[in-house]
Amino acid sequence: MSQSERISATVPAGAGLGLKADHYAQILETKPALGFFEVHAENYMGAGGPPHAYLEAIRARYPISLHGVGLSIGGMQPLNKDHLQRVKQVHDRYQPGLFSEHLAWSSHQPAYYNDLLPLPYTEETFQRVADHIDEVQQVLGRQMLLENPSTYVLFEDSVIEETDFLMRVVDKTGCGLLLDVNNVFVSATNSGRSASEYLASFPVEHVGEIHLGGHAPDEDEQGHPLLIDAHDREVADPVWHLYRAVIDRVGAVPTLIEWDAEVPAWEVLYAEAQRAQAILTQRQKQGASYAQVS
Amino acid sequence: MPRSAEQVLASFSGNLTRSDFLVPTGLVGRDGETSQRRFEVYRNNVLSSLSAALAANFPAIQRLLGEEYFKALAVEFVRQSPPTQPVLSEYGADFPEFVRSFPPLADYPYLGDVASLEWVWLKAYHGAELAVTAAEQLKEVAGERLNEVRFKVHPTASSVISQFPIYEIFKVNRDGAAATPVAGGGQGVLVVRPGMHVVVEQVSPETLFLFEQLKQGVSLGAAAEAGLSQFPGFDLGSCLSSLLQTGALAQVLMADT
Amino acid sequence: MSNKGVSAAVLAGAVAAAVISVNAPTAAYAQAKEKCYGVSLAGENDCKAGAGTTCAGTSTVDYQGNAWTLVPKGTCETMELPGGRQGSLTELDRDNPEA
Repeated sequence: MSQSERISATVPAGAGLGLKADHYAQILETKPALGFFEVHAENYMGAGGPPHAYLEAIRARYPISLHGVGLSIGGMQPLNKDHLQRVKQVHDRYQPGLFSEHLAWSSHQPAYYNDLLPLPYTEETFQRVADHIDEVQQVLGRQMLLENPSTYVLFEDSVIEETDFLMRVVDKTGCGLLLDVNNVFVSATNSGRSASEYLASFPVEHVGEIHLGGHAPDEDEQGHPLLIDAHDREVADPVWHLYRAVIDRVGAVPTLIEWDAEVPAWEVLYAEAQRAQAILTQRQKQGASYAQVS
Repeated sequence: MPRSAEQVLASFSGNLTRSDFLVPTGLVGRDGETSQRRFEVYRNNVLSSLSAALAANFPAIQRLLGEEYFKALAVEFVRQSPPTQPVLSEYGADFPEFVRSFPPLADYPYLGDVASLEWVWLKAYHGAELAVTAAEQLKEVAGERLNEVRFKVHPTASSVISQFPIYEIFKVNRDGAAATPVAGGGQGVLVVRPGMHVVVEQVSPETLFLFEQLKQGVSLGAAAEAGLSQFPGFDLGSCLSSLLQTGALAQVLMADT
Repeated sequence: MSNKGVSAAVLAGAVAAAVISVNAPTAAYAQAKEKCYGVSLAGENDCKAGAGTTCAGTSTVDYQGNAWTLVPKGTCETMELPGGRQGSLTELDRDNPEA
């Protein structure tokens, strides 16, 4: 498939879905109406094989948002240069409309932990995160979006609020933000704080994409709620409420439904995307279209 | 004295794969208390997601051992050999050797070879593409020049040879093939992905010998000669047919073309 | 280019037989257009968290602690070593899901 036969790379301010291997065939057969698909860069780093064949076919018909899960931007050690080059290869091959990564770490020499681990917010970590984002944007030759994390613990060492930390990173690097509304709800609940207050101080004007996903309820030793960012079910009602409030405030933004475990039939997944799309469409009818992140 | 962030993360990571219940200092819950359960979310995610990745990469081993045993085995492996890079479909190169030398599995000596076959399958699945044209090209080569022919082996082609019937065991546990009695002898297996489908074929020792010769760049004439001296009754036509049919021999290379 | 062991005629005959037996272009890769074989049979990266606080790593089973008490309960139970003890796979548990 030559690149000229592809649909435009631009991700529209509509609803998208995380691309799961289970749904490749059905997507290509039924060609559902959808704003975009999001793929994890690390799943397309092989030299060849069915994953690339399917993604090429899907990219021909849909814009792609590329989501990295392994760069460990919040790590205190240097970025893995080999891995960054592999991200670049996937990026250059599929020309995604958006590229995002996490405010989290996942590697600590020599191990890769395959989890989005939390970091304390200090002057030292701010500097390191900003340096890493500079490096990623330089290598990829584009702006990236940084995603707010789900967290289960707090650091005694933290001295900067997360929203301030994100704002300063945006100012320093020129990156945009990926606002994961479920992560906001999960982290706020787990830390006994207000999700609405967090969102009120979130620099929403820099948001280039929104994530919505399901979480699993649990509790800590004290009986306090402990929500797990499991992506294994429908988006919770309070998260939909927060999402609607964000969209009312900033206008329509590309919105992804994440469902990575207990992946349901395509129809169930698609219905979640349509729910987000309905909110976006309603907002667009109210006018005030969302300005691109600058 | 505040700790550096490097120290905080080192302490965090050091506790992720430990088998005791230690919580790193400086991590607290909403009331400022040390919380075991909160840290367990991270430890759980690391160990369960990495063992799930191994299960996805070695499904026959998981089926052979059962889910509970496999998970415990995988957690042991993760603690000993965590991934050193982020791509999970490339995690587990050392798993076959770990299985082979894990003392509680000494009664199941075939498992390591089955794991090797699964690893080779995974490499083929994600390997580079190459068009298979060797059979068509061979038709165009003049008879007197056939001895000079060399082949470009398909980049996804590999062989596994075992003293155990690993082909049968692999098939039954991966493809849901009909259960059949296991033959007692060893088996050689050729794995290649000439298109979208990974081909796994049981082949004769003679065929594997020819494959390895040609893979090393030996000419067809010399490889045939070596085969004849190694195996009485070496049937070049039959061996070559297997290698062409599977796509393991992808393209013909002639010295002057 | 000496080739004492195998005559050109023998080589030509073997190659001709081999080439004829190969289905065009090859039967194996003509299947490429079928459904995606084993498409989920590989580890995938994602950004979800695991299933809660019940930790996989805090089971009582720990080989280093010499407390390894598990026995395999998969299909290997019904498959004994070849040579001497003849095994059979006819009583496999077919309900065990494929990964």
